[in-house]
Amino acid sequence: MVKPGQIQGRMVVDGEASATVIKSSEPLSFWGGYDQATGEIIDRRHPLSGQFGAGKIMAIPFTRGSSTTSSILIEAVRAGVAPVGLITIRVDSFLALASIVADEMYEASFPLVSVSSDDFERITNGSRVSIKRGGLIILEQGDTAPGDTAPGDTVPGDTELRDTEPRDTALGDTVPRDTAPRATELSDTEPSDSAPRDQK
Amino acid sequence: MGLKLTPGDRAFLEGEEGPAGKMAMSILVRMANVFDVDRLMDISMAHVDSPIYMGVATMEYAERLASLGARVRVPSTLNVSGVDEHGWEEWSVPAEVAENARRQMAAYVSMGCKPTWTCAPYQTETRPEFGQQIASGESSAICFFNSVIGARTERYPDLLDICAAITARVPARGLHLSENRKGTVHLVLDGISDELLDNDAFYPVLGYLIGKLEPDGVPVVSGFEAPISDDRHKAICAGAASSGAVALYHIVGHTPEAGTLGEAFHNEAPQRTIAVTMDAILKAYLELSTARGDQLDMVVLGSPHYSVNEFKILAPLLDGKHCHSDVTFLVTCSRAVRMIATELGYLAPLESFGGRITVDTCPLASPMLPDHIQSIMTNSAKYAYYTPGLLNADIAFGTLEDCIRSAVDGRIERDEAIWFS
Repeated sequence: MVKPGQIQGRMVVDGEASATVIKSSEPLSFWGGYDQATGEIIDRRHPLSGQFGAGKIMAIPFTRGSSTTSSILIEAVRAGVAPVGLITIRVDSFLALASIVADEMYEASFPLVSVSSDDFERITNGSRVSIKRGGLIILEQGDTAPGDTAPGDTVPGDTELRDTEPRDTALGDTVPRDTAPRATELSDTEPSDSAPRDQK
Repeated sequence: MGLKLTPGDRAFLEGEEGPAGKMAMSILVRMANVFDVDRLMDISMAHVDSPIYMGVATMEYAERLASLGARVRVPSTLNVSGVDEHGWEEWSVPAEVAENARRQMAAYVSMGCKPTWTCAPYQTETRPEFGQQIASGESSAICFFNSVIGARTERYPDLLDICAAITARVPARGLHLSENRKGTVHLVLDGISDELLDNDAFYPVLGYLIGKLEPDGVPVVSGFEAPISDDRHKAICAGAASSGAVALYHIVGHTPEAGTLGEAFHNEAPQRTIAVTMDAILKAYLELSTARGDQLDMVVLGSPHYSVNEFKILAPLLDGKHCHSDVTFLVTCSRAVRMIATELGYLAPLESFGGRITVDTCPLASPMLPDHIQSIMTNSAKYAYYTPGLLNADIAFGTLEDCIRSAVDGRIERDEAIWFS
């Protein structure tokens, strides 16, 4: 039973996160729209331009445009500046893939939930929400989970709430995990200027 | 519903086709579960956008697959890479990026993909047929394959397209299935001047507008009489897949699944009908530019990559003219198109003009532009759309003639009468 202050969405990629929401009703392309080194929204025609997605739960209706969105998000995960969770209206394949590949490569997937348009309207920009396993979203006045202090507001690199449990997609979880360090640890070992954008 | 795998799918998943096949099938199956589909289906061609170098993670992904022995099972063309292998040193590409991007390119070639290195693969010799099931990345190519050729592909993100190529399987869903290819909204050209319809610059603007009006559906456009060239379709695709997520459009009487309005909508009623007026086109045209003054540092043509025919049109327009010394004039294309255009003599006028060519990539995909490039002009809706965010530069959209005149004079100059008449 979904209580007031909660939304039961469809779990697209399972996991948990709790953070401040960065929301827009405009679709976003991560390629040309999301700075993979800093987490800034850089689509200057987008309402969220200049805001940061790193460590936040991002709510957008769907991704627009380029098929490179997944790659940008993987780079952002590796650099520790990806959103910690995403909420969309449409089941978004580009975001789902980024989370699944982040898991395959770095064991650093992020939860992805799709909700109805009406429920999407109930999520407010700047509020705090928690995504629970199974696709339950708890809005600002809802329960607060242990450790839910303010991780979403932290600087890029925060992975406190990033899920490390094995995926529960039975068929999918058959590839041996790579033993590489976690994404944020890796990012410390690479110069951040290995991203093309920064080199201009 | 539950996903039912064939023995062949299970063989991949259990590693009988090798560890790369296992990883690729694992990702595909997890994606199939995301979409709640009940089966995978065969594809017989792929266009792989994964070689575009975005950073260490995309390189690591490519090298992981390559080190596991990945081989593609279907003819697979490659989209743009992150570096012009033989020309990058003439630009501001950092050596480390060039090295990583080349490693990533080599990884995909080692998997058996064709080194086409182009975002306009349908203008190479590997072009799918009507009705063929394929898997494509690159948003503008996806749109072209579906809309103009009538091949069938979903919008495959980078990283997934290569999994489809390795296994020759995709989730059975979306635009692979006939029922999802019917039109959603009807866009009716209303009072567009013949002069504008005759100008190549109309088509990228129309594409941009289509993507704004129906970002997430299957728009159907009617009102065209004269034939629409592949290059004009290419421009529509690039615009519509930049401002929106358009993966398929129909143009009544012009694209293969829209012989009639009824066919385009599968004999159902459109959800909405919208008039595309001169006012709407003008507004879209103005939205494509962010430059306020007339400063011009660069003109860039070729997103998607220039075709041989586009070089043929460009050559006489440059003849006898010279690019201003403060302006960089760049055309981007594939190495194959450069070779053919050179043989046909279309590149000599570009060289005398002072223009340059980059192959295999473009400024949006390769960090090649020096910092002083702050104001860019183009006739491409895709370049126009992405330049402010990706290159942190101002953009001015104009006709091909505007772009050339501006390059000669060293400042943005546009004859905008066609948009206002």
